[in-house]
Amino acid sequence: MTGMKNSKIKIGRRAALGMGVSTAAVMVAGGAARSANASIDIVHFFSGADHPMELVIKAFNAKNLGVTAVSRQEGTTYEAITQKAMAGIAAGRPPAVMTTGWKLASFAKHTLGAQDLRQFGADGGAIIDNYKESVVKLVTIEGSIVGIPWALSTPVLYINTEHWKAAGLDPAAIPTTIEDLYAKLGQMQQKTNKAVLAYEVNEWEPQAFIQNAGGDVLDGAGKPVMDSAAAVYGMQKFVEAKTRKLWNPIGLSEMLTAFQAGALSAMVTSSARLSGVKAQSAFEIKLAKMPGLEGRPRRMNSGGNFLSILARNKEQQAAAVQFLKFCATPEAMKIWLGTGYLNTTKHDLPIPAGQEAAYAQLADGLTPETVWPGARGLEALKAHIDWISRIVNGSVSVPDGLKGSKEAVAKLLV
Amino acid sequence: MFALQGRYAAWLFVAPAILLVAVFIYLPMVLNVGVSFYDWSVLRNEFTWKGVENYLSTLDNIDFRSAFANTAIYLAVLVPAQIALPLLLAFLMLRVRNRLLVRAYRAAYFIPTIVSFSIAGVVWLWMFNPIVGFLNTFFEAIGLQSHRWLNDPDMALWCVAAVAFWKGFGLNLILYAAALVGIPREVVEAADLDGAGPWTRALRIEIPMISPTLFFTGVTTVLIVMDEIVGVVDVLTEGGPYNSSSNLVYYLYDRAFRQFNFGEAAAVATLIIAIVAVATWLQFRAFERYVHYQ
Amino acid sequence: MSTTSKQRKGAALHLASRVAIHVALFAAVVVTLFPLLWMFTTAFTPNELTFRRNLGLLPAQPTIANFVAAFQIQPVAYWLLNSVITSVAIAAGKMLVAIPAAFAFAHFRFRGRDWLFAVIVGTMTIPYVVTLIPTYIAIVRLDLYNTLAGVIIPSIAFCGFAIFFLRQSFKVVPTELLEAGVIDGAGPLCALVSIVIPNTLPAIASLSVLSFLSAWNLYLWPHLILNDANMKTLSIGLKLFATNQEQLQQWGPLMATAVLGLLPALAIFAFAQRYVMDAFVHSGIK
Repeated sequence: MTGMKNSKIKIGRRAALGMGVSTAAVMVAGGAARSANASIDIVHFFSGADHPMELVIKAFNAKNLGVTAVSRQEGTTYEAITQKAMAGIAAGRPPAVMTTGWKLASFAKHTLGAQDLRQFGADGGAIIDNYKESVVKLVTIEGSIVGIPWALSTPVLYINTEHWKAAGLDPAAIPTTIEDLYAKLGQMQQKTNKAVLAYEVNEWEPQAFIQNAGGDVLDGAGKPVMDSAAAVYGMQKFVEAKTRKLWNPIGLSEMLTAFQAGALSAMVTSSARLSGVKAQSAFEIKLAKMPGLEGRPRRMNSGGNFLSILARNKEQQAAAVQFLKFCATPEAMKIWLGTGYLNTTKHDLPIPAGQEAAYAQLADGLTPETVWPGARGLEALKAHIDWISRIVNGSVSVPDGLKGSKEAVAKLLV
Repeated sequence: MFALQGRYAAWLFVAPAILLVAVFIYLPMVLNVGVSFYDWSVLRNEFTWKGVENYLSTLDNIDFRSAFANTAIYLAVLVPAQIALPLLLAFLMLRVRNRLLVRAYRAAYFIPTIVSFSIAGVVWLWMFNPIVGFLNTFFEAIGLQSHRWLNDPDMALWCVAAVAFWKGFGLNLILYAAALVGIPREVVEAADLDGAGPWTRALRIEIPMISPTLFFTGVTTVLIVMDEIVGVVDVLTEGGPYNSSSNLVYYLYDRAFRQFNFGEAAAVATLIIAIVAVATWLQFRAFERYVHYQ
Repeated sequence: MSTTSKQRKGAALHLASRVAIHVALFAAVVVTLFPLLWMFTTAFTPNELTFRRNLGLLPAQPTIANFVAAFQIQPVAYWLLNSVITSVAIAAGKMLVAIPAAFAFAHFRFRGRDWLFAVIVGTMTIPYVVTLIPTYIAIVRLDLYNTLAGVIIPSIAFCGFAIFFLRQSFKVVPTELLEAGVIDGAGPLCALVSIVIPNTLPAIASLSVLSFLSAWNLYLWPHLILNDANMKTLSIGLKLFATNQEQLQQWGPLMATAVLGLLPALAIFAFAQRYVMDAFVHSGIK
């Protein structure tokens, strides 16, 4: 059974490539009439012919449902693909289906015109019934369901076990608090003299610290509250790694490169990166729950993306619904879990090896990623990230930086 | 001259060029000023009148201000550097007798200018990686302190400037080398007979003789620094950390094609036209006095 | 190399200064080319060893596996093809437009000539980004978004330098030669094709090469216009490859792709180096 599926997938890859070319050719020719067999573009940022996203698309095409899904990787970040989608919309050619970050859900509804799944009648409702209620909330924006909760991840601690062993530490006993983690990493740094820790400098990881300290980035009404005392405390814990010289802030891509090269003892990043990082690393990696703050309850956040329908015409929309319907099946979800994203469906699927920590974190309960509301949500998000970056680079103090962010964000979210 | 026979043909000959330039350069420039007074909603495809609001919000934006300041730094550093260093190398090359070697040097310096931005970006990202990159590995090996390079808001701009210089200096260099070779031998020999040393000769004879080339490169280098730094910024830093390495053109790109705020971006474009016009006019004024035309 | 110095005193000093000159020039070459050499060696180093390299410039276990992998990971073959089509079309288009115009500006006298020439050369002082937004909207409305034509057509308009450069070269052709041609009954087009072009081939060739190279390296405009992964040119596809943070950091294949992007440009430059350099010497950019 599996063998058969694999061979199908291999044929599918070539076929999909050929289809990509032919679609491109059609577009060059100026959009010749489409055949009865609807072709829909699936815009995402997952690259590599073997990526589960490609495999899901191929498995769907192999079903021959009269709809051909064409994989289109656009850019590498949520912001980048959203911007590219806007270009497509401006050109009157929105992608049929697009992966959009949770954080941009409101933006997707207001600016990209993501369709409410329930407008597609019973089909839309049936698709949504496959997902856990807690995650359906993430795609429910002002009463409309703007997509399927496709990919859920959470920040976890990645450990290079060799470094830990070399420093005489037990990789099985990973610290559960940030305070303990910093102490252990301090010891390690003295022994190995290597880079010991890296965080991502974005809005996501600071949010984990802010929430674990008892604060919030935006409150329930979408108003910025990231300058509260608790949020300041969390953010101070975040930058403490830098002031203690455990962390020399670098870019995300540089961080991943360094970790894979075996030059970094620990990093905090999305649980969904495990498969990619593992494939490029020659040492044993261990994932642990993101440490909390001493004396404060953990309230970890999540991230990821949903698949929304941006198509405007009925034919494309119907074809897109077919694709989402397939994505909600156990078959598609099983392929998809190969990425390291967590299971968002009610289907009972085995936990992939190495992902125990992320699932444990999920079981503890995850809060949604901050949704940046309104048509200028993307700008507000960028302003917030810039202030985080100012804080991390020490050009403003933590309280001043968070106040600066609040002011900038408040202006854009009116 | 074909003064009479060619009048009709001449018009046909220049027509395609004039048409293209008018439709794709001058017309968009004018339209751009128009767009700057509107807000274009991509989703609804509507234009709404905003008056000077786009200009006001642009001037009020801290990101615009830092982009403006950075542009001034880039221009102040790169324009002189892109002129002085290639000129120095061109003078040194003039003293090399072996023609094959001259050609080899020239080719080597020119190669980075034919490297595309994305390739330059890939190569330099690899060099700059703070933990496994070449630069820090090398610095540590020779006992120097390692740096965060592109991630350090105090350094990012200088890294971008260095890569932009690396990519750009070869073009001016070959122009200078060509101009220096083109100086009539008699002039230089006359100076030698007068007993002028290499410094006097360079300052009194050679530099004035190639001043038209210097003027030409002065004007083009301003444009290159304005325009082409976008490619370097985009592949290396995307303007970060927190816009510390952004410039005006990148700010425009960001507003237009990442935030899709075309109105504001068009306002930025209009401001750029004004800045470049002033810079070019100043250069024309300054060089008018000194440029020596044969 | 000759060590004798006839006209100058202090042969030793002279030698020292020449050595110093070569040391300076050579040091500049090393700094200039090092990053590219580093790229080449990384491209030929097995991917799993890329991080464990020493500072040597020769790959430990040379391999072409990265090149094979590059073609599998991304549609590099399409990128190469798109780059070739775009660059050839832009270079050819510029020549088609610039040659007749430059000829007219060099050898004809007609009303508005100097003014029109100023209009064209003036485009050299306009940063192209200020045309970006209206041109983008126009390309989108004309349904040329995500097509190579959408990249090529507006790019041809930036032919100010080509016309300026060719006019200088065409002026060198003696008027008498052209007049002789006209007496023989040749029309202006015939004079252009049979007299001017054959006499200025090196200048035209070098300008074609320069136009090709600049089109090969176009970045911002194709980045905005080309959307599909298969429609990208190498220059922008590489950016997609390089910033791919979500899963892999495959530096070996990435460097291999960069090498593939650089090689055609290098080959053309090596082939045309002499023409390009000579053209600059004779261009009289003054």
